[in-house]
Amino acid sequence: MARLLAAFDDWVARGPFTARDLAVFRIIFASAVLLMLPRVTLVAGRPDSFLAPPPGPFELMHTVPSEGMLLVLEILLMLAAASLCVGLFTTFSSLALSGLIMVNLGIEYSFGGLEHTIFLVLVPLTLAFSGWGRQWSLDSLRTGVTDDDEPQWPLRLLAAGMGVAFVGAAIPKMQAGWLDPTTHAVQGFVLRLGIHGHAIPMESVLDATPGWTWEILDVATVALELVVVLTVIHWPSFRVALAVLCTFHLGVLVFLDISFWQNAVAYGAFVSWTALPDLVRGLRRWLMAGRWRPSIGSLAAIGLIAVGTYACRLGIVSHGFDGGVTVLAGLVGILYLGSLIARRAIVWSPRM
Amino acid sequence: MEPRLRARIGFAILALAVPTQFLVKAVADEPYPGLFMPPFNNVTAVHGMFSRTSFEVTVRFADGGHARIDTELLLAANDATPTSVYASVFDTNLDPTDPRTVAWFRGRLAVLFPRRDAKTVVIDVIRSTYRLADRSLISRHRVRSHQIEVG
Repeated sequence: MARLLAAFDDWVARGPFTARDLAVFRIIFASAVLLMLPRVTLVAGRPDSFLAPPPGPFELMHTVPSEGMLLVLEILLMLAAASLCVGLFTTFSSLALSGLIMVNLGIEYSFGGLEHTIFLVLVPLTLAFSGWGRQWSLDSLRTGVTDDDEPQWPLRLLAAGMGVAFVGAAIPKMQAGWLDPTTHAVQGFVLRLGIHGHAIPMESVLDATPGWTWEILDVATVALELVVVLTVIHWPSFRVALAVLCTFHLGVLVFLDISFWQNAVAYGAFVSWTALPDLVRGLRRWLMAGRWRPSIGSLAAIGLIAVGTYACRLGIVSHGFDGGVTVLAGLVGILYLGSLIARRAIVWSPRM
Repeated sequence: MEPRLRARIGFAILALAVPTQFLVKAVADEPYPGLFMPPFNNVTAVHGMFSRTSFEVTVRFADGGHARIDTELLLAANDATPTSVYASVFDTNLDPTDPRTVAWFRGRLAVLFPRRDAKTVVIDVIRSTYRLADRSLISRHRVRSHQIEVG
């Protein structure tokens, strides 16, 4: 047992994330919440008879809160997000923001509709313990603590929570018949949700798509959702899974007209933001050195980037600001996968 | 508290929460908060057919006229409003005789039709079935109807 615990302790402590990476993500996450979280005051004025809360604490809510109360909740949420953004009392701000997002969205979801935005709650709840306020923050100026030796376990816990959530999506799909060849679940949702108001001629897409393609999409969706949790054990694999998920969310936006911007933002927790300037400098040096030679891998990467860029353009046309975030994440995911294909190998690093 | 202990507590909470939330979902419904992504479990394309449910809301006025109204406009909702809210509010959880419901419809209609005297709101739940191959309409029928007397 002791050996098992020691192995667990060693595993959760491993990770490539620095305080500066987390600080960049803290600012991005808080800004996204400030700019894009829907207003809960929208439900003000609805009668109590419309309440149909999901199982959980919101079953205790028997009356719709007054407009004043909803406004107070909204203002508190904005204050917590702003405080997190500038890194003031970061641990407290993170936990408060997590709770306030949960309450604000919980009220909105108490009218018979439950959206799957739990990553917005999970991110500040777990990363409150990551030290994401130790760099580029008012806390670092206030306390003088700016060390870069950050605990990695909150990231591993966040990843595990995300993996579990996707398993929670895959099981009902299997029970509903997504793997049954006589059903075409994705095709049904494209027809039901995505056929109107699109930037692309969806009817042509539907006509040009053979039936077996829809079945492959059904199976691939379930497989992806089941695999994510397994990749949590190994950071490079988890990042590949996130890149595939970003591409998947881009597809959902383009074909179903649903923007999972909340997920796209949450995945940013696992990006090594501070490595980006080095990446850009390295790419520029590589291009300037004229080392590129045509190869199957690099041509496939260019093809992926071209298709991805076109999909992004269509997504932005048909959707708004939050669609733009999903599109950007999708583009990053495609670029990341494209770079892996170009290198023709995923480096397996067991110590990560 | 040292990071190692915090990590163990964090994962222990997750290990307890996961079976609990799946148990609640099995015996009741999907809980909130809960670690779930969208199930998309209402498969509508089966055996070459595809079906969808929609709502048609008609307001009848005292002057004998009537008007169709968009559900999003009636609910004062926006794009962020979950689509399943419409099914709940206008169908599955609707009690047309509840005085709170009646008062709400009356208030909304007074805002949307300030110069007309609304008497009745009729909500028709429509089930349409299409052929997948060419998306041609095979059948379209009213599943049920709700009537709210507001005048």
